[in-house]
Amino acid sequence: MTIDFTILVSVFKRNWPLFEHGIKITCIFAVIGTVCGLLIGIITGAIRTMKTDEDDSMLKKILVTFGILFTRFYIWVFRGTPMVVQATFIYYLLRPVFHWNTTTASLIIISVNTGAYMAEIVRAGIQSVNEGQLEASRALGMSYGQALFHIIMPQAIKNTFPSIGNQLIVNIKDSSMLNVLSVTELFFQTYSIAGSNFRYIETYFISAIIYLLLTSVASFILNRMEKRMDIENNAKIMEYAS
Amino acid sequence: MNILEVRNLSKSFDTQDVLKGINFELSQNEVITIIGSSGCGKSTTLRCINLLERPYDGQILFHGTDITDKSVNRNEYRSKVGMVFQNFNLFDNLTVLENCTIAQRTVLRKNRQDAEETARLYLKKVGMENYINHPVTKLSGGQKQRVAIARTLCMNPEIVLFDEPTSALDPEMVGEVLEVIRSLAKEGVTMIIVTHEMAFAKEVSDRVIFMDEGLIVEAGSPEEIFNNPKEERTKQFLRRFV
Repeated sequence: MTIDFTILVSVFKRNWPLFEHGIKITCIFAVIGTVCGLLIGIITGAIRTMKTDEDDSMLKKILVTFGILFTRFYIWVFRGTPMVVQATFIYYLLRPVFHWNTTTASLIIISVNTGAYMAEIVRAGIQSVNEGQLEASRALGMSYGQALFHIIMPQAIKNTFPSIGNQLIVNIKDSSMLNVLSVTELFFQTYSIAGSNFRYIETYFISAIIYLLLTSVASFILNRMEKRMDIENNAKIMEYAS
Repeated sequence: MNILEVRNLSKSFDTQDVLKGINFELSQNEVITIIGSSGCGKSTTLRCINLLERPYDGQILFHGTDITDKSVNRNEYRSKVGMVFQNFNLFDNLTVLENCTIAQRTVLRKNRQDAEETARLYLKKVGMENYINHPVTKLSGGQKQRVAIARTLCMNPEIVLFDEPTSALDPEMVGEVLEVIRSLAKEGVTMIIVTHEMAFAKEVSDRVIFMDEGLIVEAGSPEEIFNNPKEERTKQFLRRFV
């Protein structure tokens, strides 16, 4: 039940290139997964909030209804099953179709998985925007799509920015699930190193510290971005005042 | 020539009949104010004219065309009929100038320079030209409503609908907004104003409509309605303001 620090240091020094590679891959997967997931979430979240009224054409009604049902199904499945299972199942299921490698498959799966969470965040964000914003847009003659793109979505994303950023932190950790597809991210690297030196405690301790550092840096950056959004608003006032 | 004709306009929410057959017409350069106690259907009438509410029955003829008909392009119609809301509904994610240019650019497809030129013109008219780069969330109520009026005028609408434009304002800010509306009336802007400001209604209107329980009780010149009301209900209502 003790950590031997001299061993810890030597494990770290000897295996740094492997850890470094793992860090790189983890960061790439977390960032790409979050950004692509956000894009998927914006689209699906927007579809979920669409409404039809009696005057719309039959085709539009059918398309909207189908779109809403599809997004609900997507969110239900991808939030309701572990990413580890999704990754393995989808990779093998679609391999004969796409002939994809595990890296491409993993990037797509982490994006689609994140998208399901983002969709719910974006939907909540859209619903948090005051009804009057949409009414004013429509009263000026904008279509629902124009109102959504120019007025509603920017406010929805700003309102939910902390939750959106949280998905980046989640992805830094959850990308470790992709080791099942032999993606050489940080967990996979840790597992390999420990498997060859049998120093499980020291190796995983190093890994834990690295994950903690990565998530801390990510939260720091996200906090700065959040503050910056407020500062931008204030800067406009200062500009006016001077 | 009547620019707008409302015929037998009816509207119900669930089982409650809010409008029970409203008839009136509006001619070019005319200013109509609609008065009446809360819940009498004044705002619903305006919202139906702008199609923010779907009429249950009746016709709304704009230059002789029934705009409740499915084949009418609603966004195009709405861009010609401006609406000023009780709660301003300025776009919170945009600056004062952007609030005035966004619909010009997306709906009228003007380029940035033209749109900004028009916006500056109308912002100057409402006395807000010094706040062009201000975020709208930091403005006072009176300032917000003046920007909202400029935003509507930028679309060069044929009719402007005012839905209780001063009801959400602190008393000391009512004057500045009424002053702007008064100057528009002088310039011959065609308007329908729903208001509780009786002195103002008497002063600016060409015609006054008094509504009660979803019906027009009495309509006539300000003289007729305020000095010689014929109907008992009108007298009762006006007595409360003396």
